[in-house]
Amino acid sequence: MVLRIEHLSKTYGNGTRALNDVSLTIPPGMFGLLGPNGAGKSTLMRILATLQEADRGSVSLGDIDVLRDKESVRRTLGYLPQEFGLYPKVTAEDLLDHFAVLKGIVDRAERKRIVDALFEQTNLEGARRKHLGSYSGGMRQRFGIAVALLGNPGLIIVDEPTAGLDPAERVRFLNLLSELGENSVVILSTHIVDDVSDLCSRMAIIDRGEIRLEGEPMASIEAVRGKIWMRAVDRAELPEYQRDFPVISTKLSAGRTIVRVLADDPPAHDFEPVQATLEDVYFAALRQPAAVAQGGPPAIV
Amino acid sequence: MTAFLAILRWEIRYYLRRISTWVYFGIFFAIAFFFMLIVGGAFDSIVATLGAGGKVMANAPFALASLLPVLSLLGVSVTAALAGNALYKDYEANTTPLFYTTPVSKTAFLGGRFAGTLVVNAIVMTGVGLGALIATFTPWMHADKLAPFQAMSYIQPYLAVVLPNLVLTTAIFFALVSLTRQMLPNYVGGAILLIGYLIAGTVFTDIDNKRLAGLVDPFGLRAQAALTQYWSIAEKNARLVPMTGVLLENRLLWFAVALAILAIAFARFQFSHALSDGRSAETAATAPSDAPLAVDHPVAEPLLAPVRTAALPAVTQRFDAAARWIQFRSVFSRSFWRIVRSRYFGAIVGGGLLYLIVAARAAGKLFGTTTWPVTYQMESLLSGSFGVFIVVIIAFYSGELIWSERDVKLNQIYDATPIANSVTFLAKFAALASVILALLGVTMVAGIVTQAIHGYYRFEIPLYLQALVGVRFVDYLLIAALAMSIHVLVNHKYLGHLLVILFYLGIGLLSNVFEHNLAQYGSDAGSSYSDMNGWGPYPWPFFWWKLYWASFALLLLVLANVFWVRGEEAGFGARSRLAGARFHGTPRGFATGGALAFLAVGAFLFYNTNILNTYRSSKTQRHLRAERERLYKKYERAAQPRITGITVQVDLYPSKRDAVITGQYVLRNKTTVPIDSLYLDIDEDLEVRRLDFDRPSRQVMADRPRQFYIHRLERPLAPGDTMFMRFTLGRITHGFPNEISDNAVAANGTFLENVQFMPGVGYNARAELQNEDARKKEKLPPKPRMRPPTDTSTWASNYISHDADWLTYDATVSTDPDQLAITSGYLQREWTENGRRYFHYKMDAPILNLWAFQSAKYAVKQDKWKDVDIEIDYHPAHGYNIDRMIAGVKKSLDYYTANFGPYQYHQLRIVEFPRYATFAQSLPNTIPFSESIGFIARLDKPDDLDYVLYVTAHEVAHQWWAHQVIGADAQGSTVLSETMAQYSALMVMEKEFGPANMRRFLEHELDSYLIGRSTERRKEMPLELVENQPYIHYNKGSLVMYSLRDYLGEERLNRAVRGFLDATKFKGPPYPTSLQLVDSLRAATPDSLKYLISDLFENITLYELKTDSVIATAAPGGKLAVDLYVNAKKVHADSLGKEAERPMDDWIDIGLFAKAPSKPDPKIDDKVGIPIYLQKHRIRSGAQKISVVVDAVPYRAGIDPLHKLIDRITSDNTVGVRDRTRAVAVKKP
Repeated sequence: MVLRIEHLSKTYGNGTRALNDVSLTIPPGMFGLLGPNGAGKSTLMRILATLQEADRGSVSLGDIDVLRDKESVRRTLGYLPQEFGLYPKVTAEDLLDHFAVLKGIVDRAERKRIVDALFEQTNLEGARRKHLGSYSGGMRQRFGIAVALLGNPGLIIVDEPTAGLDPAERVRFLNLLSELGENSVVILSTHIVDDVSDLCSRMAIIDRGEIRLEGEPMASIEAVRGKIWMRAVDRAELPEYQRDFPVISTKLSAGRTIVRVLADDPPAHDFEPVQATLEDVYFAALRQPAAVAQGGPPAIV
Repeated sequence: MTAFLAILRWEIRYYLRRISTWVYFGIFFAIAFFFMLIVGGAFDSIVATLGAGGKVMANAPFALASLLPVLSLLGVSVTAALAGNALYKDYEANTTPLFYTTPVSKTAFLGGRFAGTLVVNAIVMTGVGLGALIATFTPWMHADKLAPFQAMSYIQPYLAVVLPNLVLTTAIFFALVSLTRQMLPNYVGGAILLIGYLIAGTVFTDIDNKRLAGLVDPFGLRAQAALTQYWSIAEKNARLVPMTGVLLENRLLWFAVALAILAIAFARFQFSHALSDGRSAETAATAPSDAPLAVDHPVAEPLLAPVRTAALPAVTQRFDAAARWIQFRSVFSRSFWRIVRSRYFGAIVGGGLLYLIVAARAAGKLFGTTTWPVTYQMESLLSGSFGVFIVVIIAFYSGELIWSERDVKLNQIYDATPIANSVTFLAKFAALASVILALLGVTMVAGIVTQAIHGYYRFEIPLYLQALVGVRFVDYLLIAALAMSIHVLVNHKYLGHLLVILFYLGIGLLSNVFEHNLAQYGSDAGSSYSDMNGWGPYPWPFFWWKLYWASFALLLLVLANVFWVRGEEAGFGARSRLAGARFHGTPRGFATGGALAFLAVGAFLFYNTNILNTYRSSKTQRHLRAERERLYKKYERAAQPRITGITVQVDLYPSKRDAVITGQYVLRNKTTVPIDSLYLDIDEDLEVRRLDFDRPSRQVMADRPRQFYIHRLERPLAPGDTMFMRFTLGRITHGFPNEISDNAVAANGTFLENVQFMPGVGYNARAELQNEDARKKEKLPPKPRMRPPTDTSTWASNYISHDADWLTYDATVSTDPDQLAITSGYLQREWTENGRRYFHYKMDAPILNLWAFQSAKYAVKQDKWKDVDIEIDYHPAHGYNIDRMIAGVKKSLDYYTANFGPYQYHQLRIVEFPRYATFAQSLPNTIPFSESIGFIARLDKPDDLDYVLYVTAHEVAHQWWAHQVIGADAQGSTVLSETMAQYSALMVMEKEFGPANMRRFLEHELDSYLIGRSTERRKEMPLELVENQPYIHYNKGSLVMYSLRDYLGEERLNRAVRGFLDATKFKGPPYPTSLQLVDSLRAATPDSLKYLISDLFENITLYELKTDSVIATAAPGGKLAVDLYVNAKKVHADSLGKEAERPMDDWIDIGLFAKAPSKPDPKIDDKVGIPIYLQKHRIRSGAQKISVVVDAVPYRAGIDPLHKLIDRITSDNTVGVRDRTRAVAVKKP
């Protein structure tokens, strides 16, 4: 099953343009949707999760018209929203069982099997009889994934799952995500570049409602390989560098500012070449004014 | 301080920018505005009076002092929202750390927030006053309902009640949210506070508790009521409610409570980060908890858990009907248990049960005496005021259920699952329904337990189930459907709650605008259970009405279902588009079915109410009565014959609720002119099957809606001549009307009064519109309530009937074979014919035209007093007080025959009838007596007031005071019947229970009289000119006659009374008037007391008697000299209560009392004590000293200690005695 998004647009009542003519084709496997806060990721996720209406465009999942036939989408959908709560005084077991019923798993024995398996897979086996109010952030996210995985969904949408997790919890959570089926379309929306580079076979970068880049992470890095240069500068010098060079990112390191520049040739003699990372791709893509770059190297300003 | 002000300003600006603040303001403005217009007579059919009404102006100080605080009480829910939000908005938005880390002090922070909320709240509440004020300037206000504008009338209620209440409620809700960090306690707390408050008042209906009730009322309304309860119309129009007495104490008390609550909130509030996890308790752990102990963190978890490649087990997803049923059950059971297990639910139910237990104690109390807790009483208690709790639960939990996913932010996950909206919605609706059902179950158990505790073991489980499940549950389901729909459509939790409650309160008001049940959501034609008649005629109409409204509810549910909020699109436009898209298939099918059923059942109901029966709005009815007056009043003075004999046969068909009446009038021309036309007054509901005379005649006119018929006699009836009129009338039940109020003919318990079916002769001016406002609206000239007794034309008729004097009576009644039928007269013959049972009754002496038929399956108890047969016909299950009734009859006959003269009949019957009416009535030798008063009275405690004896004695007395002497149709006529019957009953009771117990009874009478005159709508009359005003002829009558008896002595008074009776009995026309009685009494009064007759009968006299202090000192001979410093004032009030002081030179009791023994003794009035000295003294106006010498040291002493005179403040009549005997003794050596 392939998820095809074509010319999708959404403008909110207050005039905010959340999505502007977004088109994406997402094959089965883990797909990373990368973008800064407010880029329109969550709007896109919610439209795909049948929770919001689009103004224009179309979305199809296999044969399903996602925007019209919501019922069919929901039957094969696993959704982990960016922010959610759980009934504090209900046990995890009870709520997961309830959601299994809601997802149409009405056979008692089957339901028990899948619930058991999911608790084991999400490593919550020991806490399944606890009240959800006592769960930590990571446990809640994993419980959310367990809910999303009920019923072997063909489309799994995971919106900003690692925000707010401590490093250990994040690792655990990413491990879990990595196990998600190869046969499902899994969309992971995040503003953390590492999430995508660690997990995803394909990705897109979205900013201000528009897709800036779509492709495979490795290929995207390949496209900028050898074009990333860096230099440590004093803070006072920074404006000057930003004016003179196509700086894509700055970072503090041991009191000095590390400037990274995207350029085909060394921008100046004191720049040294560095290994390109997905982060460089990301920042480079964000610096683009508009116009979607499909898989190729980002244009340089 | 600057921080405080900054926070205050920020808070105020925050709210003033919020639309909801102005919505609240607008709602209160609108409510007050419309209420004021209603009071001001702007709407024809709606009559509402809160403080105002009658001669009290709409904007009178008292009216506004009543109206504004009550309306502002509705604001409790708004206060709950605002005050809760004052702190909760930080928890919700997670901004607490920002505030808590600023250098603002805790006090400034909390104080600023509190003060800000208070100010905003006060601004919202000004809507009430402004709405009321602006309404008075609209052209719709009737000018005669308005007093000149007076700013203080609006300001005073705010200062005295509204604002202090705001401080209290804001403090409570502020504290609740600051201590719990949750919003739910406020949601629920607001409703509990309000509803609990409203019903708690019923606990304090007892007379002694008024001060206490006033004090414990947190909102001060009862304190204000206690302060103003006896205010006259004049005072209500002119006086601002003073901040004194119990009101002042109340305000101080509750202000202190508010401060204490705030102090606790401030002290306990943790202005630190440590508590930021507190919210996890309710809104789920969206942030990791800082409290490590609370988290079950699987510590042993390896950082890099081994990757499990095992695929998840395969599952089948099903979405067929069976799967939906399982989903429904899953959502249903979780929703149900989430409500039932929440502790707020427990609090509401617990509060309700507590109330139930307390209220059950007061069930059916009359004169402080309880009744047996029969099932229908328990049921009406359960479904009456406890029903309010259930409505609150519906209102709140419908919101909670609809918001349950969104409240914990689980909605996105939930909404993305493939569950159908209808499954979620219906499961939640079913959960709410089950909660209601469970509550009804609890109340049933509570009812049964209460019955058992009270020693009543006739548990009627089927009756409980019929009443609670068959009736109440259906009503609540309809409300639940509406509440859920409102919440879905409004999609704003607070607004939803407010609207649901407003709707519930509004039903009552709206029912005056749209009187037809077809337009009143959830209405029916009525339902009332009677032990005698069961559910009577109500079940089938009830079924059809509820089916009608259920199909409407189905439409609402479909609407709610298609508007169900799913996903993130909350705008109404987007929701409408979604709803349009969803409205096909099943929803459309249900909507069509619902609409069809609604129309079909509606048509059937309309056929019943408007085709088979006549439906008229009260406005149309009023209009018809006005037209009748305009068209036919010209015949009022036309000469008409009078009825001198009645022969009637009534065939009752109890199960069909039909009666066929065949009668014959003997009509005699008592005038001096020949009569050629008869003007007949026949009830519209009667089918005239035959109506003719013993001579040829012609029906000239028949105006059935206006109940006026003219028959022209071919040969006029000459003066002094007699003729017959024969008629057959059908009183037939067809289908059912809009309101089933006619239960005269009942399956078991017929009580059919002659005025309900017998034709009247001549234009009946008493059927004209009486209400002044109604007459004004119909542009009819003002009509005095009654004419003065000095108007000799009034003497021509008695006040019972306008077309008959004393007449002969012969009646045959047939009924079902298992029923006993009774009417006035003596049974001549009883037989069975065609499977029906016949009774022939005949009276051997002339009677008034006041009689009735009763028929039911009676048990009969017979007894004898001298040569009088006594008979009680009663419902077999109601045998509790039959012996008391018989004893009461005997004691009454004893006293009345000894003091007033012989009993004119040789039989006396008391006959029970169903509780559709709650009175007893004296007819010739027969006393119909409602099942709800007396038959189930419970008189097992020694200090219970035996009102069975009282009512029996009163009604038996009417055999003299109505059926021997009957007053002319003029002012004061009811003195001759009601006041004298009260006096007679008082004498019988005093013989039985002693004077000590009479004081308690008279205390009730005094209270009822003073409240009655305070709520008079037109004008208070002196007793001798009473215009059929119950508070005067009953309550004041008792006080006056008892007082007069005290001054004159029983023997002298009875001699005067008997003289009057002997001179007037069986006389008329001309009929006697109250003036004749008063003259007889005056003649019996010594000159020194003649002023009494004037004060008691001819004027409205009020005393202000007060004892300042009483000092006892030693006197020679081992005696005690007691000095009483008393203050006395006497006023005469005019008809509106305007008072003028009268100089006093009156004889008034001075009494000294020893302490009553701690052991209760029915002979001793424990409130007053044992009299040491009780003598009448001459009392002047003003302060004075009274000195008496006694033997023993009194405990209390004062003026008019037994409250024989009418005094609004009786508590200051006596004071404790200051004993100076020992002090003097010490000084002497």
